[in-house]
Amino acid sequence: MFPTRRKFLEQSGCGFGMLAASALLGKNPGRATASHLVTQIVPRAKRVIFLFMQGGISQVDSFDYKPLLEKQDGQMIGFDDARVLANTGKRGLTHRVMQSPWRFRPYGELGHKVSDLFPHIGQRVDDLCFIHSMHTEGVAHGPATLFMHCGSTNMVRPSIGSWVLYGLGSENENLPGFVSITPSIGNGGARNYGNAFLPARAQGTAIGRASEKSDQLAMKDLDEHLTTLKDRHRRLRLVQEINESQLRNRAMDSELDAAAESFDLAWRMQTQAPDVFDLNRESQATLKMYGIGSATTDAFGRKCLLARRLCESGVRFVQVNYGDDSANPAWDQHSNLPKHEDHARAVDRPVAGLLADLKQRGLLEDTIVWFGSEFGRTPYAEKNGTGRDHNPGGFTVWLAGGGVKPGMTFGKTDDFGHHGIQDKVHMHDLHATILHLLGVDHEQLTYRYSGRNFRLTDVYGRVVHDVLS
Amino acid sequence: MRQLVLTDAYRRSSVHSNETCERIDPQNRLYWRSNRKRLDAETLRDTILFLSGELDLNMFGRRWPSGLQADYGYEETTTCRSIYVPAFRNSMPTVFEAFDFVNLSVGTGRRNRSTVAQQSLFLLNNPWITQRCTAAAGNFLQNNAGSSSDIIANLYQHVLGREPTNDERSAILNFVGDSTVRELSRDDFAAIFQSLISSLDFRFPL
Repeated sequence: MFPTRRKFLEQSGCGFGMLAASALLGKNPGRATASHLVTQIVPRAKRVIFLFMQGGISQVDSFDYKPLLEKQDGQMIGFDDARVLANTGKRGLTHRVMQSPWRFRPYGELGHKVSDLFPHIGQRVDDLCFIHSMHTEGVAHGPATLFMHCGSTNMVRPSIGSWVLYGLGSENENLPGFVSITPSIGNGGARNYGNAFLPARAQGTAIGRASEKSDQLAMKDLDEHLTTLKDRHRRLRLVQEINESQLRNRAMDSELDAAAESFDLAWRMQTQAPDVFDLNRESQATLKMYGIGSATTDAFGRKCLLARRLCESGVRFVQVNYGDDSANPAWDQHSNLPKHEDHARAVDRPVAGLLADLKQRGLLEDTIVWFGSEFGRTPYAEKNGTGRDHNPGGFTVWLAGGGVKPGMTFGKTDDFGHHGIQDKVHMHDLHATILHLLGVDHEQLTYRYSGRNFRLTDVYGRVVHDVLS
Repeated sequence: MRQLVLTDAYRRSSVHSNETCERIDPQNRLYWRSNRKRLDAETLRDTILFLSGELDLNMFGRRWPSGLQADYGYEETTTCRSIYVPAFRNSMPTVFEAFDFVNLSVGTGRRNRSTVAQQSLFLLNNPWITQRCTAAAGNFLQNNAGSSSDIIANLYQHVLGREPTNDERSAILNFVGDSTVRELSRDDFAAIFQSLISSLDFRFPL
């Protein structure tokens, strides 16, 4: 009975993906043939932290410096605006060029120019790989956000975190393997961390909501406050004794074994997870590094620190959301572009702190940090006003750690920073590259549903080898 | 259908001790026993609401507040049968979420059937469960007197439709400790209720 139970748990908890992972990580090579997922790609990273800047950070006000905007500020010039094009099919309508209100300064050995929105992240440019030539699908937040997470603007597809968890399993059974910290309920909501047709164990676990305060970050159903540990253990023992007795009267059945045993797992989660979520265990110096305790940075600092603690504990994919539930989420400055600064102040120090902390703990080596939005913003004023509209044709994301080449820029936008023109990287390509870094071939990670195989990158995607170290 | 359910094969128990059959047909392809069932999310919810005395058996009708603008963040609080619970794409009752209800945005030919620790956590700690069990415990104690053993026996009949085994009875008496079942705190008696709802025989009927 015992081996059967173990075997079943292995299947129900981690699945064949875990076999692939152990094979990928060089353990247990004899079982490598058990899965078609196993490829010859050497994994460079074990986990991902995705810092999602909801709403669309403006590339020309942050990491993609364009002196031409200063020279031609205020001039009316024809642009192919993505929204106008989608709505009317018209090209080349004139818009007012708008320079960035922020000064750019060179940072690091790379000498890469970063705006005054991100002075702390600027200090870390030599750890970062900027991809300036990103382009994606979807002009509105809903489709573009879904596309960034799931590789599809409209169809219900698994989120990248679910694919990763499905493919690689988790390193810690006592914690969920894919966590999304304070996700928004809008623009696809739960679909953005959903498993869609993948098995339920690949589902992302939401920690808190975008609308909740960040000092309440906790897992559901852990009940750490309502009763004492002793009381809970007494109750658990009762459940277990009754189940053990019922198990004895049943025929051998791996599903029943697993159901009974999952109470042990639940107990371990109850006793271990609260520790992971308890940020008070960190030193003052660490809290400060993340900006915890300062009014502007406290909220996002806590989320970033929690992300590090989850990664340390073996969580495979952690998404940290900076956003809200509104129709114009966070960075969505259609008007009043200077409001970008409020958001930048909230995330700059925590993100830089996270990078420094990951590095000093040696975690950056096998953790991919991905910082970016669902799209960028136009280099011209929207409706000749004070803000910028959505721009899926050219924007910047940066990656760090986990086998990514540090201190480099890749790709270019045109002189206005509007469209990617050199070494363009599509969102599908970014997905393929992240999977590649994790040791997974995006063309081989498939799941059969509704009569055919599906994958994160559909029939697209190419690994951007130039950004790999 | 009538012919099908009247067959001997359909009415066989899933509990068996036939080693020969087990050896020859361990996967039960030939239906020498019944396949074990598992309560799906809806049945689990309805049964728990029935036990707590809260199940609203009224049929039909709209079960969400008038003027509801969007399903985002909607919290399901009805006690109607699950078949009348609104099926919103962007929010579903937590008990559905935990026990493999379908993703309402995709076509699903066959439901997932997962066994994960979150389900156990849900049964142990979720506020919806503990509230139902507290209500159920209150109702039950009002209508049941007698010795601890009598109450335990009645409780088993009520929840599982059978007598407790000796092991089960002693596990509960052990939990009760030096006092009697009637002297237990409401929370502790609710915990006994909860342990039966969490038990295999409840979730996987014979």
